[in-house]
Amino acid sequence: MKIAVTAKGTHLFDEVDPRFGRAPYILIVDTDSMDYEVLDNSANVNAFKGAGIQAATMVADKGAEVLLTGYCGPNAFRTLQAAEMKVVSDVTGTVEQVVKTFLDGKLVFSENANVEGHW
Amino acid sequence: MKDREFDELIHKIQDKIFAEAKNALGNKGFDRWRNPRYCGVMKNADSHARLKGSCGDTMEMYIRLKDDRIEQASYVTDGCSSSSIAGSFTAELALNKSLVEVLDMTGADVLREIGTFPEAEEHCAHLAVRTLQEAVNCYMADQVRKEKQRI
Repeated sequence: MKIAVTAKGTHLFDEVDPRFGRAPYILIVDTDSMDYEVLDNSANVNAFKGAGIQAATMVADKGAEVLLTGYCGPNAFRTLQAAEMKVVSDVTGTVEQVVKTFLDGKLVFSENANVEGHW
Repeated sequence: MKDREFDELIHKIQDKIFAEAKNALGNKGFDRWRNPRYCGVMKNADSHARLKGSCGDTMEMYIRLKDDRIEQASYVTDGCSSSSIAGSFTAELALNKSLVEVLDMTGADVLREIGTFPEAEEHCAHLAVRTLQEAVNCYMADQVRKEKQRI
């Protein structure tokens, strides 16, 4: 399974960036091998439209089934739902830690956005 | 959901975002968000400052001077549209100002220039001005240091 995690850096030991749309990087982690692909999110940050839905479209295109992040607004949440992705918000720690915590079944899927819309 | 339906939904959400943003930012702020002027790293800057606001957004300001006046100014931010708009108008307002005039600038000046701006986002204007003034402070400190070295 592929999991998307918003990150402050490009490695598994980097911290989760709480901002979904505006995280500098999004790591797509293959949970079977722990191999990962680094997505540079700066293009979405500087898109000057809706950073959240741009980032949501990007991770959905990569085939990720789950997103682990800190904050997810309503527009991004709706986009992820439409792409049939599940979201876990309020996640903190390193990318590796949060993926392992998720695989241990200790994280709960979010049912709604956890912040207001923001452009 | 099929690709076409998904694309239609994205367009619909995007249109809603634009409508909400236009309502909150006014035409002037909205146009500046879509076409951010004075945005980018300045390679030949005389001074530069970077501050992080309480909201977590980082603002950077670059200035280039000529005859002790701001000849060029630019900003970079990892923040939201409000930070970008505030940074852009702050850079614009700084142009042709003397260093003392820049130090007299306030967030209220920037907000007045933008016109319509969400109250909850006003801190972005204050952060942008503080960052610009920090760039001026760094420049002045550097000048003093160079002067001391000359003596």
